[in-house]
Amino acid sequence: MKPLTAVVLVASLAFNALLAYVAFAGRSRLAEDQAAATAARAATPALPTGPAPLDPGTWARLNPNDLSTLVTRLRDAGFPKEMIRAILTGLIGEQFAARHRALDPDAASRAFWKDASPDPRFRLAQFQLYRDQAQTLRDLLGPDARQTDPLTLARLRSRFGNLPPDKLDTVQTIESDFNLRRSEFFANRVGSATMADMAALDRELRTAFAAVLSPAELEEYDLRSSRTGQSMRTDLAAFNPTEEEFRAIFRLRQSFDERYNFNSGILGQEQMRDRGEAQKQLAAQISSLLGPVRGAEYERSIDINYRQTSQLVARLELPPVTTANLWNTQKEFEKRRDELYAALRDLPPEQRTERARALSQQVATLHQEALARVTPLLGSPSRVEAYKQYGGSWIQNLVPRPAPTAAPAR
Amino acid sequence: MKLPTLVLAGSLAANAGLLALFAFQPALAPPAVRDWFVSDATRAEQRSAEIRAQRKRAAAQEKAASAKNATVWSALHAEDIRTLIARLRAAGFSPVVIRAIVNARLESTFSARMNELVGSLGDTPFWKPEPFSSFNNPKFYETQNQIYRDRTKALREILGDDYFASSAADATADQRRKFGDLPKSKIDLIQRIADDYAEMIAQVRAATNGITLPEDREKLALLEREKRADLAANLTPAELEDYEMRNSTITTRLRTGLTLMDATEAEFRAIFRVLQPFADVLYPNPAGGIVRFTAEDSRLRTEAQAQVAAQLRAALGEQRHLDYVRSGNSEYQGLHRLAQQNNIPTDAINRAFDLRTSATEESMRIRDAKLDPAAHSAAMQALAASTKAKLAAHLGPAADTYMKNLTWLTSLERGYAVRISPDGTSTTTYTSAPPSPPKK
Repeated sequence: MKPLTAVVLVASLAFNALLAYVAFAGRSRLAEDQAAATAARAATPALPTGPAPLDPGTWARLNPNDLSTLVTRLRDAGFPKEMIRAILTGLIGEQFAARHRALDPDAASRAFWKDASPDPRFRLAQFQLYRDQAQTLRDLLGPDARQTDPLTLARLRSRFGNLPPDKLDTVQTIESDFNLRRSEFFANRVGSATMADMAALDRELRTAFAAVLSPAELEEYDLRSSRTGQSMRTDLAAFNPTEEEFRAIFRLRQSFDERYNFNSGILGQEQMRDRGEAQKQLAAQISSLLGPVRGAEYERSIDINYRQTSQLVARLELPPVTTANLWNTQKEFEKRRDELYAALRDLPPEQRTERARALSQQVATLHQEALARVTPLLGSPSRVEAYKQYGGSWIQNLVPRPAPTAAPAR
Repeated sequence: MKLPTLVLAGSLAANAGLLALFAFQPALAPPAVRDWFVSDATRAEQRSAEIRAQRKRAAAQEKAASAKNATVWSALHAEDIRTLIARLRAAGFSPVVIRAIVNARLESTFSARMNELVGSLGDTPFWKPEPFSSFNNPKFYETQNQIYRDRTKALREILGDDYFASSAADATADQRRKFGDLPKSKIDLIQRIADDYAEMIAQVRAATNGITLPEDREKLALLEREKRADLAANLTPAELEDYEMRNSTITTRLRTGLTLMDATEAEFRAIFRVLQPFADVLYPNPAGGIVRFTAEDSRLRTEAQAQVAAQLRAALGEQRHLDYVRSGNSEYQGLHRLAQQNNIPTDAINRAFDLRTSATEESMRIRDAKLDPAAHSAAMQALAASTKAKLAAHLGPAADTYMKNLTWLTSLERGYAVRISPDGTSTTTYTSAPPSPPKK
């Protein structure tokens, strides 16, 4: 054997031995690793089934710094919806606190007799911040952000009727956007808003609602929440209308209000005459719609004095017919007073002063007579005093007043 | 073939076989040389397997954490609210979150009362009076407020100091604005007194059903007196005065004006002391709601306003009294907002505002002059025109916005005279034509 062959052979055999050892050792190591892995799997504790032990890290483990993850974890953790909404509302408020402070840096040190800046730009920015907070909550919780307290739900039902939840969400969002517009309007104005201003805003909101509500749903909204609907609900309290009566009167009142109540600031003499004529026509239309008996009841019930008298009578627990009796008494005495003053107006100026003295005495007698008539209806003088405040101001108008120095313009 | 050659061939073949084994199963090779047996493709495959394994591990960890969290609410939950708070604190929940949770919990506790109150009111037909307004249904309104008060009281008692852990405001500042530097024990006492009387006042008001009879007024006045006596028994005279200044209706009503006039503390205290004795007449309903004034009430108010004006003029001096009157006027407040948006100097808006006094006084002189209708109308038109020109000179382009909603100016343009009340708060428009001159 050649020396070189011998060296190669020895080296190859040695390499055989080394590789065989390494392969054997590797196989043993693999077997051990597998055994360890099996043992480790076997040693993994079972998922907890009972309540987790509470430690100071529990809240941190829910990851409150990432609100989106927090929502998932709170849901997984079994927190009820209303708890999650409350927690998120608190935390979002906390996140926005720095922005609120930046907007109003003097809030903490402000004297107690002062308010925040009246600058409309500040008010709007503050309003926008609260809207952003509400939007953040909606983005995080979706439908779970909806308020579920009984009063809020009842108020919404009262305003919109029985809308499905999704539509309620939509109209609330529209209203929220619109309230920003309304705030801008009020922030940028000087003096009090006219009915025309308010009506323009209402129309804008209604147009937005009309895009998402069916005609029937929109009609429900109008009847319940339009300016005409709202004022009718109050005005007709003592009339106690049926549904059909309310709907019919609403249609007539709505067009009158649109034309004469919601589109004018201070009326000129001519406009006032027009409005007066239209009001008479409206009354005639309603009267013919309701018939003579209900028509008359309607006429007196829309008078604020009649409504107040009706409330007072209920409060004093008197028979309901007392309201009508007091009303008839009022009409009778007002007629007699007007007749006395009309007689004075028709006199030539030189006779007025003397006649006025006699008139004053006559009106004083009328006043006493009226008190004598209403006191038994109400039960006592102290109740008459209450009546003077609630519906019976006409009695005060029977107190003699100074005679006019010249004929009032007709 | 010779034996050594055969052995060598076998040995080399065995080496090749063993190396092939490492190539197939690199895990058998020692870690230091393992990479030699791994191809790029295998390496990529291994990497992706590792990533899969990592994800699997992360998912398993999340699942484990979630499984652990799944029991958090059941571990926290307790029927007894104080136990719930103790557990929340032990679990590291922040005061803001604890307040939110306790509030939500109280809401559910009180929802039974609210449900009972609301009942079927939400289904009130649209042809019946709106059931949630304080005007139509004062009993509902008062009961609802009482539920809110009870809830707030419960929250305060349960949370103690954490009650003020509101997220949006500085708790200490809120408390200081309301109670000054009173010790906590006195704050608790005052709060209890205020709650108790608020409940009694609400009961009286709920029973009125919107009609306040003389006996109701007496009861309400008595409760106010009793409340003050209770406060006085528990506070020093200085503390009582400070508490009343901080929480009075007078301060609430004046805040906007005092902000605009930038009132100093001394000025505020002087104003408060002048107004306080007249509070019953000028601010007759501290509990809120609608007040109907009788002719006698109106007479008393007018008298009180005159006395207040004289005393304030003496206390503040002529100029600051004028600032006070202007700043408290809603029209001036609107003008001030306009000035802020348009960078108009205060002096200019003051001059513009004062035009309403001079112009309306002139309108009354025209009315009293008993001109014939045409001359009367022309005089009013001229007055309105000159007033508008002066306003434009003071306010520049912003004058149009200001004039757009000035009802007194519109009245002058339409030929009506206007009188402004001595305190500047109300206007009377004489819509009838002026009296005709006597016929010759």
